[in-house]
Amino acid sequence: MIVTNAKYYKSLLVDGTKGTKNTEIQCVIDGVNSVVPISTDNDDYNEIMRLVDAGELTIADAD
Amino acid sequence: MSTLKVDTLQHRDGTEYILSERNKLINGDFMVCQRGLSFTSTDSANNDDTYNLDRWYLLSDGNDIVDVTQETSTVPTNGLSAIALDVETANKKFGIAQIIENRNCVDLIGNEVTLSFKAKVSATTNLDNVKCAIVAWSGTADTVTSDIISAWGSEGTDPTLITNATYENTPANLNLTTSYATYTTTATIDTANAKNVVVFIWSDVTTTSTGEFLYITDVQLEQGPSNSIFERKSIEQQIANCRRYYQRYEQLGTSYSTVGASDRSYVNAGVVGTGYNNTTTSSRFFNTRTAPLRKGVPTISYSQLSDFTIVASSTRTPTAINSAASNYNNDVHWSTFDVTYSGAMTISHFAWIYIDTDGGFIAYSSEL
Repeated sequence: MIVTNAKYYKSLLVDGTKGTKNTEIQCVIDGVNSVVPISTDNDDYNEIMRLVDAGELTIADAD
Repeated sequence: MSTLKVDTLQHRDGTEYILSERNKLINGDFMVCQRGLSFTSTDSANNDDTYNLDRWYLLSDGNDIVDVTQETSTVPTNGLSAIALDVETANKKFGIAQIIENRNCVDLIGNEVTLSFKAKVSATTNLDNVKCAIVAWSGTADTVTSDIISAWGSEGTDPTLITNATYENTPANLNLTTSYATYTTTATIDTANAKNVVVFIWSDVTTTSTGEFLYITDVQLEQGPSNSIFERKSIEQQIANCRRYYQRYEQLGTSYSTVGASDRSYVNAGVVGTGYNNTTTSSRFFNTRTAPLRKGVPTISYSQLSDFTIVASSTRTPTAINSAASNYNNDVHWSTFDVTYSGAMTISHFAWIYIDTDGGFIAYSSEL
């Protein structure tokens, strides 16, 4: 899996205001625009974290 | 009480009687291909360790080693489709694999199983050593490292597998020919703490030329010491089975009618979400899945933002698509996503989003 352009994102809350914590990672996976929820129940998230731990990927901070 | 032991059950005319739900593999005849019909280096679609035809992913010694297509011409008698692997980078090993979910293979563990499939090559000049393997995964259940290859090794030497992946059979050269034939291997899944089973079929040679093809279809893994006739499930059942792992929604247009018998089987719906404007510059959409996903926190993938149009108090083109999963208890049956745009619209207004470009899509993946 090749991950590029990874960036954290803070979802909007139910009332439409910006959330305060990172909720997902926006990135390109194997050439496809992707949104990966921050959840260990998501295998792509687990793989992204493995790449981060291995020093092979950096995730930019959320705006 | 007595026990009846038979090798096969037959109809009166001598043809084999097929017991259902024997095949633990999904899309073994490669009929379902929601992601597309052809996977090339464009958009990195034929990268190593990348899913292509539903439930199947490519394993190769590097990227762009082979192009992958759904083959509908060179197929066995009474078949409609196969997977075709077309060498793009010479002298590299390549293959396909499928991971079976723990709940679907738990009954195989500790038992004898048989893998069977039909295959052929375009020429035996170089592709003269194709092998197959039944691999046990003994790590955490359903947390399989899909790239099970640690090192591909030299020609004729089985690839070295990663930690927690173990060959259960002794892979051997199947000596494929230029005609379809059925190949089988049998093994007992006896690795301690096995949780998942992976089927792996590959070319084990390092002397290949571009334009050489390996064709595979009717792949079946079943319990027992021998193979039975391929269980060809109904297309509706196969689609539902595939959509447990990946669901793709595309434009309502001409695409569906052009795919013919290959039946890519994605949802050709156009409208991919209905919801409301949760701010003046964003809308929140809800999507009810066409089949339950394996997990409720899928990865969302999508084509270009310009493929989408939002309709509410005005129309807008998205500037971003985001998961709204953290706000709701999304589950396997439905999900939400937020779309932001430039140009204010009326807050709380009903909104819907559709895809208006051929080839545009949004998909939810919960692959293993």
